Amino acid sequence: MKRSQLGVLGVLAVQFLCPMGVYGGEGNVPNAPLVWERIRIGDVIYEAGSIFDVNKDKVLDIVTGEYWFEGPAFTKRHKICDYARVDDYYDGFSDYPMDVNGDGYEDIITGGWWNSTLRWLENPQGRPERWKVHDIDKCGNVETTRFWDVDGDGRVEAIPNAGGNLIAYRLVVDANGKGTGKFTRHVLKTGGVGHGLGFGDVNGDGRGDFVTPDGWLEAPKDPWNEKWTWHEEFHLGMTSVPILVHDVNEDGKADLIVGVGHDYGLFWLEQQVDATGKRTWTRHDIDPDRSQYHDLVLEDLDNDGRPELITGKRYRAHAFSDPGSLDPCGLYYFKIEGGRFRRVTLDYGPAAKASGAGIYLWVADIDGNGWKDILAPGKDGVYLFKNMGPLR
Amino acid sequence: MRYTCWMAVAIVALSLGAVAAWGSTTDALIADLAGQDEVARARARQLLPRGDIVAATPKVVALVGHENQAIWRAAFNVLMDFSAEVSVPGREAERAEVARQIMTLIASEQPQPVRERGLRLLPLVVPAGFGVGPMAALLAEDNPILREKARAALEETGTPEAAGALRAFLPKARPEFQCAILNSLGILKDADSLPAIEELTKSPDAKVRAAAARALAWTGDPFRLAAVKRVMKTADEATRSEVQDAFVRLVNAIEERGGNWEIAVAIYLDLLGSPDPVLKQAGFAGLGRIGDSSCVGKMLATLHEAEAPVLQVGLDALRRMQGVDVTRALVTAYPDQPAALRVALLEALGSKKHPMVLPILTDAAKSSDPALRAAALNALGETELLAAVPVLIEATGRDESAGAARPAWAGILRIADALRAQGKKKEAGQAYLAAAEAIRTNDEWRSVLQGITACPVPEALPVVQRAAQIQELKAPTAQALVAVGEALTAAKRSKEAIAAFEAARELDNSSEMTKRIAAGLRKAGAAADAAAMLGLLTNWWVVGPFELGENNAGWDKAYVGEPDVSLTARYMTGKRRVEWQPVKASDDRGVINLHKPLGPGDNRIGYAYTEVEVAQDTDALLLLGVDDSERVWVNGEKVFELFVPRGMTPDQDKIPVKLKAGRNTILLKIWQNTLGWEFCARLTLPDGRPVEFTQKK
Repeated sequence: MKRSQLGVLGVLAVQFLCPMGVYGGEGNVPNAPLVWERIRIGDVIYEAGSIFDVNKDKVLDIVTGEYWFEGPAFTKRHKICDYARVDDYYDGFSDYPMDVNGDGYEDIITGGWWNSTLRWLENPQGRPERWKVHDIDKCGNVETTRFWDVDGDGRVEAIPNAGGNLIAYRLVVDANGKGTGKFTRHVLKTGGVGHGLGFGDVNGDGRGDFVTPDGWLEAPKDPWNEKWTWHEEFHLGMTSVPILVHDVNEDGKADLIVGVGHDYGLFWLEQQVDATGKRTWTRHDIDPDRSQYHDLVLEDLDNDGRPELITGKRYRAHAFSDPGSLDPCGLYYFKIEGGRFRRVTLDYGPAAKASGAGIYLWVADIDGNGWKDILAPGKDGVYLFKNMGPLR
Repeated sequence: MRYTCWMAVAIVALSLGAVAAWGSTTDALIADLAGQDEVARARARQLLPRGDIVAATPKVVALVGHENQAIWRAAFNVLMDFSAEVSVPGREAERAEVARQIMTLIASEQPQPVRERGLRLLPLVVPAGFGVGPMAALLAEDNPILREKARAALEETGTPEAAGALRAFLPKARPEFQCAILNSLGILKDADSLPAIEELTKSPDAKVRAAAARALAWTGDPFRLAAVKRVMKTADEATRSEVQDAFVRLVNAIEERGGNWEIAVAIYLDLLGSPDPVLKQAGFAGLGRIGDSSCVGKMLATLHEAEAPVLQVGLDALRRMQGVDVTRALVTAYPDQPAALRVALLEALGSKKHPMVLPILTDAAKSSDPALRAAALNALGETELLAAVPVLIEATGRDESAGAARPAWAGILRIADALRAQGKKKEAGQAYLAAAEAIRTNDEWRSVLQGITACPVPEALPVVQRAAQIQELKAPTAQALVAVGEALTAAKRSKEAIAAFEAARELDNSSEMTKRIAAGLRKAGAAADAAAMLGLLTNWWVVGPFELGENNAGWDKAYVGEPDVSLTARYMTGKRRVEWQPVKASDDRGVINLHKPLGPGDNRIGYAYTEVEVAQDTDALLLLGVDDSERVWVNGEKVFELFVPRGMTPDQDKIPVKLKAGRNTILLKIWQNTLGWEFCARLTLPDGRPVEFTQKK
């Protein structure tokens, strides 16, 4: 546009723009959107990331793939270890921080599809050294790993969505509750676990159950020594990891929020139980027209006391073979309002310009301003979205 | 030890001498620079930057104020060269010293022209971390020229110190100059200035407010929107366009910075409501880049009353918007749009290349409204979907006067070409086949035949056989027949495949095509000898080498008693006895390499002889390729002669010959100049079909 052209109809334009109902007025704006500062982290394209204090300098750092980036600037990077590179995948699909060996420094738990191994990477206590890689188990092709407190003891277990089985890896701790570098292996379901996994109290008995694309696994009182009960109640295909267990419509019963990991769609399954105790699940679309919703997170971004659903496209999840893979990339959160989902878009556009969500995103208040930020990794680039609070 | 000491003393002495010598050289060059000899001055300009720049700089600086223009210009240019030379990693100390020396040019005691020259030089050499006090001081000059040049120099210098100087002076500057400084700070993207800049959006001076708004635009920071909007509210006639430009730039920057899609899109949508067509276009352009389905409704509503160029920009935006949800929104909204907009929207729908749009386009393609129908047919082609082809075929069958036939046909071809480009060969082949149903011109036939050749499907055989009736299309049809024949073979439809290859053979009997046809026939299970199909003469007797001799005398010497030949005869060549020896071509062109049987060498002659039997008298063509050239006898009669150095190309000599029923002799006398020495031959009828013969073995 030429500047000279802007003079045309200027008076009318000002009359139009000044009372503009759009953001940018003086003072606080009712229902104002959150303002985000997007920062590209290095030039890396890993699909997983997390935020924690790697070197115990009381400043949060960013960990993604083969590097960690020193906070608060996140420009200086340190090598962790080499990841196998297969096509455009790096063989690490989670970056969960856990002090595995009890030395006071957070280590990383990850696993990859290609080497079929769940591993932990030993933090060299913040020193500029390569991290030692320890295999936990050859558990099968790891789609990604999730971390849930299965037994309610306050410590999470590592649950890889891998090999068709449901296996929990429980950190062995000493008498002081410190990690010993060892894990015990608990097979909860053999076979029949497809692409997708969730965890939460499905039946309201106060215990965490597992959800797979084909049903849910009811937790016994003693999850490690008693039998889990399988309920094959739906067939969802290749879903997101995780499938979220959340009371969407606030009717007191847990519902499921499901992304379609390698096709179009994001939906929720409404749980209903009739007078006879028969449970049914009713599907409601949230977003049928965007694809590759592979990771879902529930966190309160706008500090209204209610969680938002944070998700986006896993760009090139299966290279360009998934339906919709050539559609725009996007990162969103959904306001959940009485059973309805309202999408709020942070980024949307071609992958060269817009971020997706990767396979393992992370939410944390990285700058301590009281608003939770989003680390969105992916083959489109690793981005930190700093939440600056509502537009004023 | 003593020797070593003396050596050290000698080295030191030589070094000092060299330094002194260079010092004197520098002085001499400076003298040349300041002298009257133009050639010497030009030489000094070139040589000074190669010497001790730090030592030379003050002397050159002193000449920048020289009254002779030729001298001060030369000095100025040398200082530019000095600045470039030292502005590299590893020469930081020299750079700082040169900068310090040049900075003296802008001292208050210097004449104004010299100070201006200094301001032109300083941005080239002042490094980050270097104090710019003297430059900053000029910002407070009463002289507006110096003041402005200082600002420009600081902007060009661009270091944190330069930005800091501009920032520090901003509140003290008079309004006009404030505008210029704001512009500089915006260009420098000086984040530390932002609070001061935002404060100036409240200036009582409208121009300053506008400049401040513009200086905020680069930030892409949504928190700056309020300030820019405030400026917008209070803009006067003179500054309004600048403020609007600043606003659009800020929104564009918000979009570009990412993360605030909602804010950028909300503003773009709001711009659609502007009475200013330029702002409307800015809104559409932004939405075209990042808009989604939520934007479609308002965009369409805006287009209801839009005229060019807003209409074009808006439609282009709808075309550019990506994602299935946009397509769905357009499809859903389409029926409710005004008739004229519906016509215009068809192209955008077609561009989505999604099956979802086909019902609308199909319906429109059958409309009685010619404009709607034509737009729909074009859009169907743009979908690049095979499913659109039946609609287009139906359209091609309608009355030509309806104006539907050609766009429809072009649409089918476009789909076929697109599918071919996407590597969907089977679908593309089917589309080409469909296009063939409504062909009207030979050019259209050529397009279809090329497509079928690239994407052959077995079902294409009848279509290509139809094309075989058209004389002008022989070559592309033959290609298509071979391709379809190969597809038929792959589909295990051997009988039809053989028919395709035979038909191709009727159309094109060139060597290359004949080889492909023969291979195709064999693969389809038919007996096929490529050599026979080509009429290749593969069996020969050769003898030689014989000397070409002085003045090519050997060319006319009958070494073997030609034209008569006795294969049992022996001949003397120099001190060697040679005799006829049989050779057989082993490659598929029938090439005989004479170097093998006759040995390597240059400037010589060889003979090749063969016999063929034909059933009846035949007018034929003897097609020869020879390196270098040849004399030819058929049945003892000389039929051709050429004596030129050249390489071999099959069929390069086409010689009409009369073959008689029974045995016929062919004798070649072949000249070898240098390098390759080879030939190939075949016999065909004048129309290119091979002569049926048996060759003596």
